[in-house]
Amino acid sequence: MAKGHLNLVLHAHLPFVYSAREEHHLEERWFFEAMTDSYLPLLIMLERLEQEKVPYALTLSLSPTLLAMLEHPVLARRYEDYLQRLIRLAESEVSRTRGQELFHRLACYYRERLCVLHQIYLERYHSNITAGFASLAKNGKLELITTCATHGYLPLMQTNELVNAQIQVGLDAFAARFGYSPRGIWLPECGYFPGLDKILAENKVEFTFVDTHGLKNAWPPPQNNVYAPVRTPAGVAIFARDPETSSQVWSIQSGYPGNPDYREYYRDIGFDLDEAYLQRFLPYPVRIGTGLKYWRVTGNNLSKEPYDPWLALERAQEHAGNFHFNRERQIEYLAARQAVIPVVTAPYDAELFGHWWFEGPDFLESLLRKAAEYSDVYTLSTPSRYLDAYGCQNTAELFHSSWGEGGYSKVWLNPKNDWLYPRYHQAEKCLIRHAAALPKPDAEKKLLLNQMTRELFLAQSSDWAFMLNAGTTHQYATQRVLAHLENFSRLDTMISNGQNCGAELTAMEITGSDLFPVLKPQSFAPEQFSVLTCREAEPTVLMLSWEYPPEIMGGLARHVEDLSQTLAKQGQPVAVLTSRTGTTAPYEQSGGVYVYRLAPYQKAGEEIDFYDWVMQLNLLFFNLAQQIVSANNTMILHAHDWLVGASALELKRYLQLPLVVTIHSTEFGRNGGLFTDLQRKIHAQEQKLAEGADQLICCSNFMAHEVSRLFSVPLSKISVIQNGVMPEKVVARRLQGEERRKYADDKEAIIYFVGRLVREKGVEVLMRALISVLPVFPNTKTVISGKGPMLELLRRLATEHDVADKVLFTGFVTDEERNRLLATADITVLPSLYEPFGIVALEAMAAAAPLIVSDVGGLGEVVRHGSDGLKFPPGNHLALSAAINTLLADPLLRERLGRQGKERADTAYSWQALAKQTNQIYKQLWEEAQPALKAE
Amino acid sequence: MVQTSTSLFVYWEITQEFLDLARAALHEEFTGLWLRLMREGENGSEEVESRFITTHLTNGSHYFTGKKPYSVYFMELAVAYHGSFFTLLRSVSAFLPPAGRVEEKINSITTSPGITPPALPFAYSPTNLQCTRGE
Repeated sequence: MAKGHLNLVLHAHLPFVYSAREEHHLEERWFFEAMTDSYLPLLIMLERLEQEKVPYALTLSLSPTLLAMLEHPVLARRYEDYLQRLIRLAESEVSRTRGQELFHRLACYYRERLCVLHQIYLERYHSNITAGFASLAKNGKLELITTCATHGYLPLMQTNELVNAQIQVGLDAFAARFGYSPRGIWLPECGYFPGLDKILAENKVEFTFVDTHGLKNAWPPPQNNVYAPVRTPAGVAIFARDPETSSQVWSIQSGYPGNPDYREYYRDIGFDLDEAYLQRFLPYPVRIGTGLKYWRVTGNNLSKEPYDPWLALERAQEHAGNFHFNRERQIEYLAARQAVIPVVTAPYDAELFGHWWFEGPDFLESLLRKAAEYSDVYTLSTPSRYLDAYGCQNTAELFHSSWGEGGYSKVWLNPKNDWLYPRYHQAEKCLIRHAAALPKPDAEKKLLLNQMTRELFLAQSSDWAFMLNAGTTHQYATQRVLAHLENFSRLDTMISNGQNCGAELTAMEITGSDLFPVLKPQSFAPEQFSVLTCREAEPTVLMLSWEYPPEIMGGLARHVEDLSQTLAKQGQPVAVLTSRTGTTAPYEQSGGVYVYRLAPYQKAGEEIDFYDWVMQLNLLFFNLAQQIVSANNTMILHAHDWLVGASALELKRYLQLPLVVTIHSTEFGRNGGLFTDLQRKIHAQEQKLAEGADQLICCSNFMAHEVSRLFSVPLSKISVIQNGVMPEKVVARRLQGEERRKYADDKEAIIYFVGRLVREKGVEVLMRALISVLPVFPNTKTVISGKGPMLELLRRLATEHDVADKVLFTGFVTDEERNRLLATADITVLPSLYEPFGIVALEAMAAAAPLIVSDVGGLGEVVRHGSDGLKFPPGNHLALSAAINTLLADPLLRERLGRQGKERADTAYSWQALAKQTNQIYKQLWEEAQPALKAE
Repeated sequence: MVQTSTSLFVYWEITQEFLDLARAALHEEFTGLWLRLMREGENGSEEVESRFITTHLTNGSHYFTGKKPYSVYFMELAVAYHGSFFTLLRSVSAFLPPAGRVEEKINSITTSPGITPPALPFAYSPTNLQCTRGE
């Protein structure tokens, strides 16, 4: 029984170099050379082994771009032409070299070889060799896998969506060709990054490969070095390259291909002979390699000796024997030291065998034969076979690695090619946006979107960055990237402007349609993306609000939520930009509203003060809002309060958009004047916002007059639209038994306050009023919910007034708890000193809570004394205690006020009506803005 | 972006409007931007390198080298403000992988000075040390 296994893996890839325009496109020659030197010889060799029933095992990765070229009918025709030209050249060489025995024999050798290849290509494979590979794979000796769509280097992509797309499309292309999905995938350049395994697992990839250090550096360190696969946390098996087998082929000291008897790659008659002579056979305007090479490596100097293919063949067989011997020793050594059956993974580029190392296929054939014949120490295997037999014993997390120079991303990211990445990344985001925006595109859009995907994929090939780094053919690489990205940009414009497909698209499609004929860009776009992608027919409203549920600081959050959700229900698309301070989702669709939450980088109060924190939030708003607006045809800005004023004003100026501003309260009103620098700064922001808005909204007449007076804006610029309430969000079950006893004894009546504990809310007035209430109604408990800077002062006040045991501070309460307290309380008191509107009053009314409010600002406008509640002069604690005593003494009055308040809240303050009024303002502004926008 | 186990690449693009907004919002004159490389630690983040760049350089890129493997870094674009920094933009975090690969090159197997045909993109021309794929 064998003690271990050898996984030989060949990765075959070429960038997509087909040209629809040029019959003799210079770079197509790369494909032809690789066909002649590597792909055809390898296939013929494997078929020979198959016919002779040699039990070999080999893994071959065929890249989707290579597959597309192998199957391309035009390329097949051109390749045949290429072969014929080479045969004619070889025939001419046979004549030319007569009299030079060594060279003549070689010319005959090449002529014979090319004729055989030509014949097999046409007669056996009918100009398509993929069928040959597919046939070999059926018996399991050859395991076919694939790689990413265009061999994009995954660690440097910006979005997981495009990483997923490259993988998914690559796998789909393979499945479309071979009728099944490969179990493994070759990562372009062995490029791995943390988290990639999850995407691979989601695509049902069972195994992949990394370079040696990719596994050696894993955590925990692998117990079996690189000689057994490990499983990542997502469940993907990782095989790592064995350095020894790699070195035997590549090393300057010990690598086989450098043997003096092997053919010299760099001496080709295409560069040695007269140019005019060569041009009789070759259609290219420049000298190129012909594959007819007459010299052997010989030594490390210019002096070369003639090549002898028969001697080289002997050497290849000798080297295969050496390689086999070394594997036996290696696997014996490993098997004696590790508990798990060792597997040596030896991956190479397929083009190494034949194209560069001319004798590579001979070496490989000889190795496969020897390994099959002498299999007592090790047997050849494939990753699937190994996993089926032994599985993975260990799990480890892998870090960033590649098989490029240095082991990381330096080859694909350095000053010679780093200009690619901003362009790539911008295009990635653009494609995702469009794909998500068009979940069910019509035929026209589908064409555009598919071509966009192809163009980006083609631009992303790792080959371009590689060539730019190497300095060879960098002009071609540059031209290819720029051309694809320019096409991408044109298509983006066409989709954005709703243009039809035209001749332009047709021209692009000719180049790319054979690549990935079936594309579904929607499948790799996130299911729920955002308004960024939605080209709504209606002008989309972009609301800016620093708070939004579940982040609730005051009434503003609920106001914006209720308004935006009602607008959305009425068919008006709305996006909300808000702050993110907790663990809430950065993006969600909630109640039909697109909500984006942004967290300022620095912490308020620790790294920067609150005002600067607000400004940082505005910068983030500005950035994201630009993206949202650029992805949508139309937009109206609606800002709530000064905290979002900076970004709102800049967006209006920069993007020329109508701006609606709701001023919920003013800094002057909140503080009863302006006393500090911060208050003056905020006031200045409010002033700018009031002046810059196209239309102001206030929630009460009181606020309208205050805004008009403070900021010198005409009342005609201010619309009064009161706040609304959604009764279904407020109505709750009363607290009973133990639940109620958390707040008050059974005998105690409950007086309830909810709101921020700040001066303007007037809780201090309530505390003073209790002094007069408690002697008359000792069985009362005042419950105060909310937090704020006045909490400690209020506690002290309760103690000073000797009412501490009759007052309960609950701190912040959830909406549900608040609703149940409103439903349970005998009286709800809102004693504000300054109140632009007082949404809590509406909520209390909707909950049928008997209500006492101060006759101030919006509160005075909402509550009708004696009908929906009782009112008292703001700040007058004696009047408040009288009102409380009246209600506590009269249960029928409480019941009537609660009932009537609820009726009014349900009818007069319905968000439906209020949202319609708001929408009227949007529409009017939008219509007014149209001529100006068109003129732009 | 991770370049190697000890180096990072960063690029930025900001609009003049964004800078104008920052300038207006902060009510302060500032003369330039700072590129700050921050390292995440158990007790928050610390600046490990900063570079002054002019406000004209609204687009740019930079390599930070000589950094520590096994560390998480992020970059900030900031303005000097009130004796400290006000962050305008912050990058996503990048984890520098363990330094496990020796920076060796398996050099040329053959040496053939003289005419070098234009190599295939996949031809790992060992002669001119371009054997970077699969070295």
